[in-house]
Amino acid sequence: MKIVSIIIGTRPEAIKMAPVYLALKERLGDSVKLISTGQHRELLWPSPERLQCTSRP
Amino acid sequence: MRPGQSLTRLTARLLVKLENHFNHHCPDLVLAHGDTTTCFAAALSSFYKQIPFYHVEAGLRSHKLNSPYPEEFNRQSVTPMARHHFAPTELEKENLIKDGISPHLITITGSTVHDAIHLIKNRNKNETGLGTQRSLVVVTLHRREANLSITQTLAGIRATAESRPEVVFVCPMHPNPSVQKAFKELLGNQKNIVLTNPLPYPEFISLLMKAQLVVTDSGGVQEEAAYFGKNVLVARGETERRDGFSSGLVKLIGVTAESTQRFITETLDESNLKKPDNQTIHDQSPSASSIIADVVERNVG
Repeated sequence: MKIVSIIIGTRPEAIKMAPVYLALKERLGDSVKLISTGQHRELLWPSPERLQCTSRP
Repeated sequence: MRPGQSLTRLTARLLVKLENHFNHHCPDLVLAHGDTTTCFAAALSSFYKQIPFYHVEAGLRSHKLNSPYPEEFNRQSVTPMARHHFAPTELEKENLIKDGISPHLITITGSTVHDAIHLIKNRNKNETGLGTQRSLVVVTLHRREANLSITQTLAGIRATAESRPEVVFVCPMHPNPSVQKAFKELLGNQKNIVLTNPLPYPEFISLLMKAQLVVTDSGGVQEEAAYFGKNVLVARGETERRDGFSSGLVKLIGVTAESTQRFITETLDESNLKKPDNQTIHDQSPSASSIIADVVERNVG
């Protein structure tokens, strides 16, 4: 199984890469890893699942 | 962000952390976004381990290595280390080609922030009163290299708030302690200025959708507000982002108190003469993230 790592560190990256993570997860499943470097620790981050989940009323 | 953390120490810490991750998971492909120190470290660490690195939101250029600092350097330095480049538009693709990147390694995608907004838009739609509210100005400022500029911009906002008591300024503050200190010192104790901590993203988007005007030095906020067809004043000397400029709704206003006050006042007056709601939400299809996922899948499949 090929592994794809998505690296994020700040809130804008978390937001802009969330849809990429979700799209890749649909195609490749659990071989997609989302890793935070912790560059910004204190910003409120939405998880990709939370963004997705909020789109379904 | 750790208090007083230098870029050197941050970069060193991120490189070690990334190498540990790469040793543990042995990825076949690494993806990162934009111009942050995280993105730079991810590209460098991938290069050292010879893991293909794919760069999302590649090719933006101010062509001034020090501005924005360190983001312009980060983005330019990532380019030669990346094996594939996802450019938002034709303009960024041309920048990459000028840097010697072969066109077949570049894919034009549009912006993934539009996909993120689509993910949360439906929820926000259910809220009441989502149309533009007159006299609501949203302010975000955070530039690391420009404490002086922030001070000037804040002074301009303060002066505008004093002369326009009917206008409410809402300022979600960046967590950087020196930025928060400047906001509190210059904008505190003014009854039509609201200072808040950073908002959760869906709530921030909801606030942006209601704003009559957005004042920001953030490229991301510029992009989001332009996407909603908002008036945006970019409080910077220059910008590598062109989102919204062609529509006339986005203006570069520089970093002086005088220009800040003048542009805010003029823009509010002009937009008061227009119809209140000019919100445009574009549907893009296929989405940027599915284009990126297709390319990645083809290359690891």
